[in-house]
Amino acid sequence: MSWRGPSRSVVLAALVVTATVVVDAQRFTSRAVGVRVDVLVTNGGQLVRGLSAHDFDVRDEGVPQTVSQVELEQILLNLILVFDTSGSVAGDRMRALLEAGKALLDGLRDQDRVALVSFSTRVRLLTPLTSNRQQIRAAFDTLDAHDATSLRDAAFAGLALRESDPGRTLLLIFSDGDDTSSWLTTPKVIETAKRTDAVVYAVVVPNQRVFWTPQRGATIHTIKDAGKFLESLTEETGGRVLFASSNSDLRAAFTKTLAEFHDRYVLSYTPTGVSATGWHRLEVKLKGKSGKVTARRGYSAE
Amino acid sequence: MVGFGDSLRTFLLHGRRGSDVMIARRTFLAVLSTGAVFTTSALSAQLAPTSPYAHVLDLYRAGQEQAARRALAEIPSAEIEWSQRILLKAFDSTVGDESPRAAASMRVAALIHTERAIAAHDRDNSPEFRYQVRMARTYVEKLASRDRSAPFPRTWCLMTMAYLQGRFSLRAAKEFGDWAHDSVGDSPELFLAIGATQEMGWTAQHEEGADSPFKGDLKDAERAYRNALAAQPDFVEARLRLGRVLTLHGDTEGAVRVLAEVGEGSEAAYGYLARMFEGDLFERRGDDAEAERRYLAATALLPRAQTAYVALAHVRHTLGARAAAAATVRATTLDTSVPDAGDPWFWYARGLSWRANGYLAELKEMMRQ
Repeated sequence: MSWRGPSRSVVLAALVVTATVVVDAQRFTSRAVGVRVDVLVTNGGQLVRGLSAHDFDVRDEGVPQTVSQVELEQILLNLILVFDTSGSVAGDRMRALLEAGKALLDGLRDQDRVALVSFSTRVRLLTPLTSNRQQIRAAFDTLDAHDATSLRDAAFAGLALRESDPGRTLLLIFSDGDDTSSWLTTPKVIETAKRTDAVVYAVVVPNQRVFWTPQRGATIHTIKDAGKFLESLTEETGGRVLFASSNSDLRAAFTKTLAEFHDRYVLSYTPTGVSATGWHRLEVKLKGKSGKVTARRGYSAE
Repeated sequence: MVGFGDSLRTFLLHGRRGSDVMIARRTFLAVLSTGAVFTTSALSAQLAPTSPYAHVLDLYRAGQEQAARRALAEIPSAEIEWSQRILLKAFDSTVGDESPRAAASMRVAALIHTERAIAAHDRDNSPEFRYQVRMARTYVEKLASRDRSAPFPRTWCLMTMAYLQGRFSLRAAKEFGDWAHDSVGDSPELFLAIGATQEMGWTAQHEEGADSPFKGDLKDAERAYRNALAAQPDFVEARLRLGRVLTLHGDTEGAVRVLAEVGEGSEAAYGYLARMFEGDLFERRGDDAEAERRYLAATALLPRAQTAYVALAHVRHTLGARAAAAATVRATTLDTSVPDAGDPWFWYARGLSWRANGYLAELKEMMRQ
């Protein structure tokens, strides 16, 4: 049995797309290999809209590149939902999660595809990428909370499921706890993320910890900590962590994530003046405008 | 000794690191409650029958554990400590059968205080946890003072360490290990528990990026596992853990030798883990192709266990075989009928917690004697 993919020498990781398979053929008139970068621009916490390719300075290994902007309407969205269904999610949180997940579907276009992965001790693919909303809704209804938390293994599974199509992939991870049972380490999953073009967002419910002191007895503290893993993973891929302060905020956090993903800029370029293989460090800045640019840190060309 | 496979099937895995699962506690309490089948006998020789503490112990022995727990919570700590002093004194008595009767009561008391400690731990009430553990440990220490090799104190230490490991309370587990080493004497299983605590602490810190207060030391873990093997050369779990620890601190040649010895004639679960650790070892050496072969061997041993497929998919992704990696992920994640707890890795990662219920059953049996 051969498990080797046939195109290792051609494919520059999933981040890099060949021009001919991209829907917007007018923008890609040659068979040259292009790089696509998903960019979020904010200013004072607010999204900055209305920018064009000319407003961005993109450097690949420090070398300035000539970029164009891809219209989002022309790109299929692959939304891979990776939901924590460990024991701590049981009850009200699970109900809120189901409601939030289903509400998320309303913000998608008909052609967009969704996959649902749940994880507790095991990782389960409840439905592969599909545009069939009925199938997704039915999968939501099978979610059941129990057992431990294999967060890193589940994140890897979500990244590995990203298919080699020209769509944009958003991996939305929901979790409310620390990893307790994964095999894969943080560096291994981060390395996987570097080899894909998926943008990872995480929605996290902060932990509540009880502290006891002889003087005050029990006091409950809310700790807004997504953990090093989710912070590293989202940062590496150009996404971010959103905190839902309570179960009832989950729906708003999910909706905001999708809206933010729709308001990102997708830039593309054909790399020039850089090596055809290896890790490429990316820098994306604004030219003559103020704002914070969030994009993946680089890509792996193989 | 309970077999690895047996315990996999019987011990519910619900460890937590933070604020989640309460199921383990409920399971623990359920097992604890079902075993206490005693005929009621007042502690007249030691405590007055009307003593609230004696009443608690009698309730517990009568199988009314919930009532016993509630009653214990009502007793002021000064009275509990006073009652304890009486029992400890009776244990030293040379009059009639006072001493063996006191010993029997102390075993009951040790377990109910342990139960209270676990309940406090689950509520993150550290002062209460420490207090109840101290009470239980005082009884156990006294019992061990007469016979260091007595099974009850030893098993109690192992059970408590296993429980703490399952809750990732590693600093407390480490303190227990040190105390057990000094108070109840060494055994292969105690060495294993001490080593696993160190290994878990190191792994959380260095492999999982956790900012744990207990860092763990691989050299201490290695020493403990070697001690376990010196005392019991056929202790497969100690050999497996030794191989893992050698891998983690870079002695790959030593790890290859040790892990190769695990598998032939062992339960499939041990062989599975040995192949997994070999795969990881070869990945660390940069030999992804050999790692892939080892992970494949693991999947062959336990085809429904998921971790080997995850490891296999990851190494394939690293090798550039993205479609194969995705297919491997789909192969193991699409089958949603597989129960969560069927993978030895999930048990290994929690130290000896998978043995906790077995130890508890042994303690209950000792209480009946």
